[in-house]
Amino acid sequence: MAKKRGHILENLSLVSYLGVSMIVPIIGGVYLGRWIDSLLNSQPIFLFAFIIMGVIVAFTNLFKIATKDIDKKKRK
Amino acid sequence: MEGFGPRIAFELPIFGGIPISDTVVNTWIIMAILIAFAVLASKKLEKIPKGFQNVTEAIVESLNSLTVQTMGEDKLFFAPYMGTLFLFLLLANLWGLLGLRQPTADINTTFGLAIMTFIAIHFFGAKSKGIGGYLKGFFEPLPFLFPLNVMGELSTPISLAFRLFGNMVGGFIIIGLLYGGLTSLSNMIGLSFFPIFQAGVPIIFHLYFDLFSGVLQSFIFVMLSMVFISMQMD
Repeated sequence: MAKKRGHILENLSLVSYLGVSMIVPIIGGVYLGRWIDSLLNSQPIFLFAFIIMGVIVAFTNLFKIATKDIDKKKRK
Repeated sequence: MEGFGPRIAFELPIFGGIPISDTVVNTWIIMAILIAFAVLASKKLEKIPKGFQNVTEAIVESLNSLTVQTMGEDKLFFAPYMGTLFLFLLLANLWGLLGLRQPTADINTTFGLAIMTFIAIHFFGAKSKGIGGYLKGFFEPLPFLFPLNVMGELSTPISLAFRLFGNMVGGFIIIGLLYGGLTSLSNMIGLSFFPIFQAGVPIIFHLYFDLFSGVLQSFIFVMLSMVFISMQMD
């Protein structure tokens, strides 16, 4: 029982983390891209590149968090 | 009206004046409380616990079992760090109940804690997998995904810090605005000498923003730290 409860709380905190973990790489990508663009004066190449990269990172993060427990079961 | 940022409490008169904000002062008070608690609790330890020692043992045991449940038996040595983090965050988030500014409503505090977790993630990841295995993790599943993996890892402390900061500063601002509004409401109906609204109405908001959200967020921060460290180590 105690073990199951810990599992529920762990999953609850991971679920509530999903939203933030998606937003941060995308916004980070936007700012990083804009900063590199302003350094190299190459609008908007790096902006778009980093936005796309941020989206991919966001989804890989989601994938990693979501499949965290599945991996463990397979290994056993 | 002044903003909702941390205010400068006083200046240390060395190196031409180091400004000390109220965040730092509140953190010092919390540190003093926790240190005093630790000293008092471990002063007279007896074989058969009674009274105060019972409470302390219950706290330590529940923190230990939480660590074991989340990270596994072999990572029990994280329990002191996670316990400290949890108790500090708990006190810091509940600080708003005293009408003071929460230290966690300052991005510097939460970011400092998140950087500590970030260093722990990568240090213990490299220690348990070996440097080679740890670096190889960045080139998986495909080698050209290296920049994406680095960006993903860097986003972990940022999201950890911002979710706690956002929750706490949001509650702090709403409660601040509420008190301002209720004060002018009391004044409007001519009750400035007897602020009846400020006495009752904010209880619900304090319950949600300070008690519920504060406890939940400190728990989530600790839980996510544990999950990320054990994910990197396995």
